[in-house]
Amino acid sequence: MEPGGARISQLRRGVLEFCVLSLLGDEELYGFELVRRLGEVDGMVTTEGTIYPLLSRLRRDGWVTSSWVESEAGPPRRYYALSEAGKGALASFTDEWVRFRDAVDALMLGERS
Amino acid sequence: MSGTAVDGLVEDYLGRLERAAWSLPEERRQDLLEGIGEHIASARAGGADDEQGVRELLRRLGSPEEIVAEAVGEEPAAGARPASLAREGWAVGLMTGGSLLPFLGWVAGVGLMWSSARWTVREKLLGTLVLPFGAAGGWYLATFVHAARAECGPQTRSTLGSGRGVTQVCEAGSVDGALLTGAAAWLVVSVAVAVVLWRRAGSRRGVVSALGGGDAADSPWTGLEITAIVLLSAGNFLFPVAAPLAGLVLAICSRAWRLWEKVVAGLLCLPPWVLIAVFFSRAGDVPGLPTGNEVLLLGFVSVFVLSGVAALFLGLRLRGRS
Repeated sequence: MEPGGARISQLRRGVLEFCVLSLLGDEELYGFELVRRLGEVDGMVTTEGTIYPLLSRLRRDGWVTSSWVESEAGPPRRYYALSEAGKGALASFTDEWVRFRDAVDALMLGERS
Repeated sequence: MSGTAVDGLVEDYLGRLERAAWSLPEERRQDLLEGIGEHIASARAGGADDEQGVRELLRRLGSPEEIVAEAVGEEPAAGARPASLAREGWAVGLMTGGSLLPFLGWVAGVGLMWSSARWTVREKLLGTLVLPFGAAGGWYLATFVHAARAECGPQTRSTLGSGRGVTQVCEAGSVDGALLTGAAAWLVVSVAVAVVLWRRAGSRRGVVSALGGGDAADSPWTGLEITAIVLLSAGNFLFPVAAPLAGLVLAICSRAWRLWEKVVAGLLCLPPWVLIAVFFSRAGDVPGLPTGNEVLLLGFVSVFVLSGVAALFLGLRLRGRS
């Protein structure tokens, strides 16, 4: 792993749950589909299996709810949806994130250009 | 590639995951296995059902150990207060070494174990069945078998009658190497199980607070209090003086009882022993008093009853509080 790799992975871990909340804010998704969407974004998920413990915790924290839905192909699916508390958490994180991102951009990229 | 080979790959993976997730609380483990299982099934139903596809799917999921490490990281931190392992300590200790108080010590340990949230049902079964009566269980068994073998035929009786000072009348029950080995193996296995259980409990320090409801710390009944009451009430059958005394000491150490309650329990338990001792030492000297054996019997019965009453008293006081 290159220097700073561990930091990046910590950073990713910190924001991953809000990316999950954000995806669920658009529509209800079941696990496999959610993981697939996250995987489409380069550099977001390295080991897909680790999304499940995260989903489990989000459910326990009450930010996400889930319900079982029969599927035509394969086993019943657990669909995840954003709760009211999850919406609130996502909204306040989004505000913070925009400020944070702009600040980092200004400091790191602003100097170079 | 045949479907069974692919099924084998998936089964191997899920088996590894289940073993790796052993340290998670039951509910979390179930949740994780369900999630990953559904993920794999969905992917396979969606087309990735040949060997290459499944291998790629599993690779992308990551190793079971990585996933479990993440799940452990998601466990709530051990909480604001340090979680006590007192109950688990007593449980493991009594189950293993508790056979110093034959049978009942072990029963108390098993009871404590089942009352703890830090073990899964499977581990509790393991602790209960492997092996009964803890480390000394094998020794009891060996002694029992040994004694059974030593029951000798009629020729023994004749030697008894003829010889003075013949105490060892029977040769058949001599020490048996196989019995000793069995007892030693029993001891080793029991201790090994105890070590495993203790480590598991230690790895789940935070579990009790994580489980929320019925928080052990809010209840006055911890391992200490239960053990104290068990020793006070049942300990008499095993170590007539030592066990209730130990129970009393534990009760005094506990913060669950108030001072006056401890004094009452102490008065119920201790003075009768002194009276009996004094009485016993004078028995026979004074005509009209009962003989030594009768005093002993009477003393034991009354003391059993009194320390039982003390245990009942302490138990009821705690019950009124919880």
